Amino acid sequence: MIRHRGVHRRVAFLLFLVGTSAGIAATARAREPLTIEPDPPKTYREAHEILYGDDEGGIQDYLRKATCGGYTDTSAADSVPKVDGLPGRPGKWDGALWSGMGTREDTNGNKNEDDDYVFPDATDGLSLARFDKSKECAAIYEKLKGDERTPGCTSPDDCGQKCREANEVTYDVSLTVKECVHEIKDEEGNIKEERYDSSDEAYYEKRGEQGSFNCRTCISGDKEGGQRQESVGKKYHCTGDPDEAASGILSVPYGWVWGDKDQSAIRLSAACKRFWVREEMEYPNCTSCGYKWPPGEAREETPGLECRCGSGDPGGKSGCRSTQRMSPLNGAHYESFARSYKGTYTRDATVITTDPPEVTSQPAEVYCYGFYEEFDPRKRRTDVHDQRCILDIDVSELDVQTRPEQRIVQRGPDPGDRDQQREHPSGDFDQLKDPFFFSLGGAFSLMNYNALKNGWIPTILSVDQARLTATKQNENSSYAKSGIGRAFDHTGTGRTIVRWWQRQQTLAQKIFRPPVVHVLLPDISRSIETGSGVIGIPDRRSSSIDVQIGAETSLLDAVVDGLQQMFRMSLYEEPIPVVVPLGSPVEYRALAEKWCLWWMQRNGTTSCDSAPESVRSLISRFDEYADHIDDVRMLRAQLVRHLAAVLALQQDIFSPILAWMTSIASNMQTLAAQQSIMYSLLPLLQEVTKEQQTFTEDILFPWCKNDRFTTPVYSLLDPWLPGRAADGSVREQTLKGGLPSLPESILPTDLVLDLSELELPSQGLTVPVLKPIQVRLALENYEPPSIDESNPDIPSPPPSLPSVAPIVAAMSEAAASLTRPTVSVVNPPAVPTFPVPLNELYRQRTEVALQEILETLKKRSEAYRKFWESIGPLPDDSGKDNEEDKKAHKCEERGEKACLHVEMDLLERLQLIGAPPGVLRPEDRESWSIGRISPGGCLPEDDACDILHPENVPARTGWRVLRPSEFYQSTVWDTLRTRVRAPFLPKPLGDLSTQDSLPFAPQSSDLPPALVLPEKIILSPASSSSSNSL
Amino acid sequence: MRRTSLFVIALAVPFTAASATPAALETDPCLVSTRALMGKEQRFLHTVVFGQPAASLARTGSVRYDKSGNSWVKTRSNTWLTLASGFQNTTYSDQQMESQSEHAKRRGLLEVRQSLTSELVPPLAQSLRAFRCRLAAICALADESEQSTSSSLTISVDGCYPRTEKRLTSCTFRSRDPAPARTAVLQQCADDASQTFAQESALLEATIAYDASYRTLLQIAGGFDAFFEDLRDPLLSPLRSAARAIGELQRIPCFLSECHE
Repeated sequence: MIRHRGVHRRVAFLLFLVGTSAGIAATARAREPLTIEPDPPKTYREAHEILYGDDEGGIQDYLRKATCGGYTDTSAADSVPKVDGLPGRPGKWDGALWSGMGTREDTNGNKNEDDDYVFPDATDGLSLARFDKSKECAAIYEKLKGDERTPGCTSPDDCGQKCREANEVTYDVSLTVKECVHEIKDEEGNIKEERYDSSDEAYYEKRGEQGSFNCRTCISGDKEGGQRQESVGKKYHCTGDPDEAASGILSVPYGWVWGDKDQSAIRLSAACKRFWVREEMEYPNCTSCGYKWPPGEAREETPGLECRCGSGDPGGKSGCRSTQRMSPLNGAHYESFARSYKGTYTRDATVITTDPPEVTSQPAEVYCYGFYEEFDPRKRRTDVHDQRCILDIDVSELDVQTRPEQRIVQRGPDPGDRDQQREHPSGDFDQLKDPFFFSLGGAFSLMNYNALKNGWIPTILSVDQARLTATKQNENSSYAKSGIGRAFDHTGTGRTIVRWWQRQQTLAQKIFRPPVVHVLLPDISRSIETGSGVIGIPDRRSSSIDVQIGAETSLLDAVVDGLQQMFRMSLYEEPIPVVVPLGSPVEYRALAEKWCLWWMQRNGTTSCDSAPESVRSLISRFDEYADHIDDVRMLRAQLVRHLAAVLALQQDIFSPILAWMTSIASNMQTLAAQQSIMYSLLPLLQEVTKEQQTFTEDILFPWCKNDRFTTPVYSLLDPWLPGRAADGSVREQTLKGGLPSLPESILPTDLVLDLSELELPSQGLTVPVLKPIQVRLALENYEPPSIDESNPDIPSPPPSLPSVAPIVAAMSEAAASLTRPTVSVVNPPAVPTFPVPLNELYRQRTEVALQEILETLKKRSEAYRKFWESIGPLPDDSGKDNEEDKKAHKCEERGEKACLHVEMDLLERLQLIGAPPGVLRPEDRESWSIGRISPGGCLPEDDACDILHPENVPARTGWRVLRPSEFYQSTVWDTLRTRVRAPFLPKPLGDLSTQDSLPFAPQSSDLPPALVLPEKIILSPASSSSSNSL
Repeated sequence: MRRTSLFVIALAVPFTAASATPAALETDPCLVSTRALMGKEQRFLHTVVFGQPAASLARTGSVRYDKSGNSWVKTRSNTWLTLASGFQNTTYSDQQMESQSEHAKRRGLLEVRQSLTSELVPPLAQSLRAFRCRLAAICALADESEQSTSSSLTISVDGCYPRTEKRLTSCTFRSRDPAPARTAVLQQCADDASQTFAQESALLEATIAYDASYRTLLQIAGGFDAFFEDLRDPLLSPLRSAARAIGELQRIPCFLSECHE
């Protein structure tokens, strides 16, 4: 069996683990949860009873039963059971302490530990003479041999019955009566003949006398005239010889084989009667083996050895001819076909119990059915045919609870240790009274069992006050020893199964831990600009922290979106004031029309084509005004064009970045899809681990016991362990297939995408926005005079409207200057190599392997479960069905119910059953593992590791968006403003000369304030340009 | 939220209340003078409230008035130009502009840092009150100018400090106009003053509202800054400890033979 610790934990139903400061309890069989009546109690007394009562099935009782484990000072030398009275190979508990299992003991000192098989003296049973030359004998032998599944006889009574029947088998044999001639020489030298029938009593009397006896058949040609062959007797003659001529052994039935010699139906001629021969020795066909010496008598022989006779006779050591009683004349040896042993185990007590006391010794009666075969289960694989014995032992009392004072495995804080004093306030905890360690003592347990009697409620209420404190272990080293007890199994020091399973665990971790991509996001405070902009000495607290936030693929989309938004530069407007004339075309056309009418009315003409130049120039000028005054609207489009240029710029800058991000995102999605390939196998993996867990926590724990240092029971490896060859050797992998194994895989490398150094553009982009100031043109002075005016004063036409084209051109150039110099993205980082998780082929192989592993584990669980249930009923009542067969010592079918045990390691089996309760002994620590030495290695002998992946952290590259400097931008705006002002303002602010300046309604000297730009007031406290702060 | 821009809605152009002022009064020289003075007071109020940087520090595009009332525009660094007649070819340097500027450079009330708007309200209200006094003083000056002959007059307005001003020569009605026009002019002056004051006080109200909200926002932003700085330790230290503790919990050997699930 496989354990990982010498001491085991039981999981109590209730929420807290009951134990002391470092008590480690053990795991029980799956225990039914404790239920409490759903109806609330009606009186306080009832509640008190439920909570504190000590009744059977109450909380206290349940908790007591649910825990075991602890520590004992009893050495393993005394607590590993010693077994008497069973065949097997005794063990040496300390033969290989490091492995957790005992070894076989080399009792004869010849350095070979496999030849120390013992056979108990007090065996008894039934034996059958084996004489293959007779087909009747062979037939009886075959009948008693049974077959693969069914033994020849199935219970003591049945075997006794069959033994009697073997001795009563009839046969038809022709009796050849011999006439024996006794020739005696007398004194003269004459030969005197006396004739006797070989059946005559006188023959017996005479045989001892002098002279020679010649016996010959008297069947044919004798004077008495012919014989008849008839049935003789009713007894079988395995112990006789039908072929007397060859063997010289008289075929006359012997001794009591006759039984009713006086009443037999032998009809022989009187002449032959005298040739009857009768032996005195008794060699029944079937007899008992193992002579029970009366008490007090000295033993010269080992009578039990008589039963040690079978086909696998190792020669020289067998009991086939060990006594004269068992040595028939024809050499047929008695092979035992039913044996019973009386075994006991004894050991020292390890737990402190009063009532009921710990059972330290228990007798076991064993009955084995089948012809004796001696072999070494270590050197030969056993099969169903070998599972032939019934172990009758009462195990219902073997479950013990450790007392609370024994549960302390690790000492609590030492009051004298000042280091430990610092860790927790001294005097805070009274081990006998306080329900809680307020400073916990380095283990799981939260509660002090002693104080449970004071009440449960404070324990529940005070949970959140507990603080964890580490205490040193009971050693002087300040480094905690890895407290992992070595797992052991029944392959002995090779620990094949343990190594195999631990290696599978490591492989499974590798397979089911796909590579991941860490995306380190930028710091939160960096994404909010508050204008302080002061970077002082970087605070250690501001270094990035890697907190896993369970990213899924949608997170990466969010990250990409966020980055896009952060990269988008904010826009600020830079006002470009421009003075433009305001007027309505209708007004101007009306004015032109007025002048035309004036002329026409004045001169009485119908058209003003004949008007003089001065008038016509006025009219055409006003028409021109009417046509072009709305050209100013062209300026509306400038902002839009500029923004289009900005967008194109952003596109140029960010499209490589986004392409990079997109390729990363698609790689992530591929990775995620591939990872899910393996996840589909997780339920199967869970089944496998659950099966293992059931095995180690449930099946191997019929009651709380510590199997460390018992001798391996090799026959328990059959028939489920693949890789166990017919010669008993165990290999993990054989050519024909051994233990199923998960496929190997290369440790993948995780990828780290470090976006934490993201630098955002701290300032935005400035966009020039035209702010037109429309100033009315004053054309009152251009009204035509009255018609009657004799000397009309015709004003010279106002200057023509300047074109807005220069303004448009200036704005377009400013937009174009955004891309000067050409934007280029230099050295874009390469897309990092993404790890490749396992593919579909791996999945299939893993699935097949997992299923095979599950099969193997299930068969193992079945084999061990049947083992334990065969000696049922166990303390939790399982195996009850086998009790009847067990007590009746009935073996109806090999390998079923109670008839499960292999004869060759009965000693080891009883030792396993009698193992002490699950407390830690001092020597158990010798089989602790040493822990991992190197981070990359993981020896399956001791460790099942979850190896972290190496990380690939590409060198940090990134982008920065460099804005044109503030100075550069300000010169651009100044130039732009100058150019924009130029068309409509007179010199020196604009380009118009005095006579070309437009007739604005206000005076031109009043125009400049329209061009004012707002001042910027900086209110943030920490600014680099603060000259005097308040 | 980097640099705040308080948009000064510049209305230094003398306000033409077209509906209220008859055409004849538009060109009245006394009104022209009073309006010029009112504009100057308005600009002075703006310098008090918003501040006026030195000419060398003024940004390109700033407009200054010189002592004669001409407006100068800073077109480039160290270059001030004007459209006033007679000065078209003149370029002022920063230093010249500073010396010729009608108001000296000063720090504005709203430029005061690290103070709440509430703390600035009393001086702002006082400035407004002073503005009103000055506006009233201008109209009183126009009135006095007509009646007195001395070149410098002491004007007393109820509730204000007396001021000494130079006489407005253009407001001597007796020499030009008949008396009813004088009343109209003075009435117009009073109207101008009250409208200007109403406009400025409404403007200041809006400005203070904006300023209050902006300073509040600055406070909140500063608070967030401090919060994020201080948050690191109390938030991230437990996070780090938790991450470390979780890691350590994983390292505690599992007592079950299988630690899946």
